[in-house]
Amino acid sequence: MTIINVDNKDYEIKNNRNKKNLLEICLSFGIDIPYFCWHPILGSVGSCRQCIIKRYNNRDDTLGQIVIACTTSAIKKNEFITTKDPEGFSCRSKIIELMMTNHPHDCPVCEEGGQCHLQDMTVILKHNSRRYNFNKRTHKNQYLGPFINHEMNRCITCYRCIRFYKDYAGGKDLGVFGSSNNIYFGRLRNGRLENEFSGNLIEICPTGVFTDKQYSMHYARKWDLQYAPSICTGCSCGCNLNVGERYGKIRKIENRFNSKINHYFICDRGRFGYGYINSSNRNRIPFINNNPIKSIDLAIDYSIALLNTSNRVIGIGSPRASIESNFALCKLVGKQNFSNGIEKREVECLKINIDVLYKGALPFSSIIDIEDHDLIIILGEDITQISARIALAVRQAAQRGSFNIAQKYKIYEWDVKNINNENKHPIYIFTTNKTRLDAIAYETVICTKEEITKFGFAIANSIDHNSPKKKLNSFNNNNKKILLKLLKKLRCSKRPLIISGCSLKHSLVLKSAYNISRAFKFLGKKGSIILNSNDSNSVGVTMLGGKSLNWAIKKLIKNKADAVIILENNIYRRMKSSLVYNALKNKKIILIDYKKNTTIDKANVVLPAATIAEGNGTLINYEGRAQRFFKIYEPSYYRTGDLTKESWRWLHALTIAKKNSKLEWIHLNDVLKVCSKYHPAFNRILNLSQLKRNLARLPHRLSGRTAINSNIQIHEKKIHKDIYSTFTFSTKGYNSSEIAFAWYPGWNSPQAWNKFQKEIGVKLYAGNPGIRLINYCKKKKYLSYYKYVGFKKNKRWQIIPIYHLLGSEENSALTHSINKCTKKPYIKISKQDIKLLKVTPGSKIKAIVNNKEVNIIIKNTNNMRNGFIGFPFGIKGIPLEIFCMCFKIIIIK
Amino acid sequence: MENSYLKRFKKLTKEEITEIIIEKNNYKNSKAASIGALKIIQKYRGWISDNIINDLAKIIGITPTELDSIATFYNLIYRQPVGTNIILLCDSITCYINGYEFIYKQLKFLLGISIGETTKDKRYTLLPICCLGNCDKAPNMMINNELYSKLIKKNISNILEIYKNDCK
Repeated sequence: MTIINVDNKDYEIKNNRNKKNLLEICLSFGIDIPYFCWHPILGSVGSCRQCIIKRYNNRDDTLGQIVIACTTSAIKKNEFITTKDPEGFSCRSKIIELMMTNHPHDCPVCEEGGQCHLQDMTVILKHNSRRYNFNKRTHKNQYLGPFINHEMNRCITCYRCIRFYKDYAGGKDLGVFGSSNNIYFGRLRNGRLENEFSGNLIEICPTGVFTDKQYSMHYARKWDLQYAPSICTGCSCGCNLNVGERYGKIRKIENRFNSKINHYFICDRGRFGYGYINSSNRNRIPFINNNPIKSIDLAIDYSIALLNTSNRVIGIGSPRASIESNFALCKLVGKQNFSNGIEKREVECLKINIDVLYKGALPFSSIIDIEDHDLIIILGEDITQISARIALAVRQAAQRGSFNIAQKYKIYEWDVKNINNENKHPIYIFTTNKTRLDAIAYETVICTKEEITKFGFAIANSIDHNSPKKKLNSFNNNNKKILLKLLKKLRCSKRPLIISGCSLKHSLVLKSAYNISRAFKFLGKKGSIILNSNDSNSVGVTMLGGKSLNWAIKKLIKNKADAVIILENNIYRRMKSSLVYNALKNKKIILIDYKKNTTIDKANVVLPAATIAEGNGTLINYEGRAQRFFKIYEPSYYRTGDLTKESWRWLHALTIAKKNSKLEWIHLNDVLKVCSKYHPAFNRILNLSQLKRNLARLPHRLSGRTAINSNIQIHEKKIHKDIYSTFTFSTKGYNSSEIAFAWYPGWNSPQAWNKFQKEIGVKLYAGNPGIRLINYCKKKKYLSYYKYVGFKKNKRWQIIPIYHLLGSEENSALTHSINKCTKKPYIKISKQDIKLLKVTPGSKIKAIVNNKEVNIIIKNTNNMRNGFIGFPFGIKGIPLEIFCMCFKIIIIK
Repeated sequence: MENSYLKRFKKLTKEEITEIIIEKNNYKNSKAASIGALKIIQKYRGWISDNIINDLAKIIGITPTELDSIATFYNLIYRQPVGTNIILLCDSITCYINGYEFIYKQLKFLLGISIGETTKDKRYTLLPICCLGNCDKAPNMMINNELYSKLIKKNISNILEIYKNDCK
């Protein structure tokens, strides 16, 4: 226990003595100390000299010594410091005056205004008039792509951007040029910032050098936005977001702190991929046979008539829709008719995922927990492009190799965070295509699916000989060497992590990953596993049960059912389009979706569903963590006649209309109460949402709410009352674990998260909002080893899906700016194959898929295996059928 | 290795590549050779052009951005064309008190350029430097590699005369 006396008041800190610096400690006591260059995650560099405090030797010392809080730790058992010393204050305020000499007076036109860390700090230090009468230095700005605006004149050279982009996220294309008073942060030439985490520069920059370009297209000040806590639907990570809205449009997405998932950083897909919510291509009112209907009752009545006249109704759920919506569908059509809307091969993978969650030998690792592992094996998953946040954590795990050395010499963690040294924790990647993580990997092996599984089984077998075969002898010398080295490292490691996933859609890959973890448990050591899934609620919908999409399509083709309800799912993306076409032919179709997709023309009834912005719901991420997203705005408040409702509300309306019963489900919990009767695992979500009422959606500094509708009517429109969730559409309310926006008196920037944290950068006062549904239980009997099943014989060509963070995901790809960054259709083949086929890189080919012609450009890479054809997954212009059926390629000469 | 580099990086000469490879081999981490390599190029060409940065970065094995960050940080690595003779005039505190301003005025008068500029005939470039380590004999300046101490206004024209015929 250490006692720290700050400004004559004693504070106690527990075991974290020596680990934290004084700045962190003081902030966690709620004492405001200004700072710029320090960041809870990036550590200290002590370059801004803002956090100057005075430190005394003992209680009797009156002179004291000026120290930099962020580079000083609490060494003694009793520390005496003061933050209010006039000498320290004048020192700080003079430094901010120097910093401000070159800063432009452009706050009124600056997009950072109102959420600016620099503004907050100048206010704290009472610097309000400028004495510097000379010309300011000016810079030219660069074009940094469709996401980020660059305004170099505002820079105060805190180096945070470089420390995040280069040291933390591993970006290579942002640099710092020049020295002393003439410093430029930018790229060598104009162009898009290529790193997947470039969007975080917006929040990392304490002032307005990097601002959100998309936000500036429909700008509103931070205090004028309406917020609610939300969850990212881009991938299975379930990163926490704060989504800001005004006039019925999503304006921007901010990171929401969650110490288990994303803490301070989210990827560009999550931050910028909200365009589909604002799209004009949304369903806002019901359609009956392509005719718009303005009444809910009419749509329900017509749907009921359809359902009542059919013999069997099949419900196709979605791994993207919330648990509530999927359950409501399951309830309506009955469990025997419910399909989870996922393709068969993926369902097989997901079932293994769930089995391992329940009975696995090693626990699932949360994303932030990844950073504490000292050896990582990645089997067949390009995590940077599929679940980028996991990849960022893996990068940190690798870099922590240097922390061990620092610890040996008793150097504090916050002091070494900026060291980018060569001493990395080993990462082994077995992949079908080169990945962004290769640069930090100890070894990357590019191989086929079959080889990946063989590697997995061989590793497991050499640790524990009871596991199924695949001896080391079956590998060639090079691979054998790699494996032997890996095994050596694995035996030395204290806490390894195995990562695999569904992206290759082959269950054996996941099985091999599990076998490694099981074998490792056999050694009696700690460790973790991650089996990643593709969509935001894949795990949740698999937990609900239900059959695969293939089953549903088969039943429909065989005319075993004559009606189908499709829930927020574009099944044309999941199956061969000819099959889907045949299945939906002459069927009664009810489509509940938020955007107009391929199925819409054939649908008899289209019901407008809510996205994460307009509805409440629960999503379950890859590790079985249930998290709530809340309605951000009420669509009918801004657009009269907008009938968007959550899917589960539509489905419940259909259910009660069919049975002629009363309305039962009003609140989200009402759905879950029924749901947990069937699936006890969901019981825990109920505890999660017992929040007290009245949480505010609007910041306390909101201006001009009365003016929102003043162009229509001078009377203030009645505020929509949200009886369904704990949030109100007003400024009144308090904060709990569900924090709608990061704001605190005096702290307008995202740095305000300090004020919500018990331990800075580590723990929120009210805990993390989510809850893990399935806990790893040590006493249970573990799942036994999976058996090895042979693969089918290889054909000459193997098709490899190449995932892209920007473009492969369906919804985010609809965003205009993401569309700009999406790659044009291409295929990748190896250099030798290019010679063999007598083509040149850059030349065009035609692929004929399902009688459709697709023009594609050839790219070559050194890292491709011979006989592989890599196709970008999900990108516009490349039909997804390429991955599941034969097609013909014609070379144009 | 030299020949393969020569083929790949056509902008660099054989001598440059040989020297850079020697420099690179001096270090465990090739990144450490960045400054040395930049100095080699500067020795042959006088300054570092944008074209060279790309090729050089590839040889060293870092990105052009990183190399340019290094190149622009050091004031004695020139990222702009400079004259044949480089005048480094010390403007740090000791030289400043001992008459830096008079020397600067005289240089300005004689050459017709101010700090950071090059004469039209490309003969002289005038640059500031923060210390030449010769404070006891202030004011100081350095032309190319020669140090001139205890400068007085009168002598400046004589000193410049020495370098008058030095041009490419």
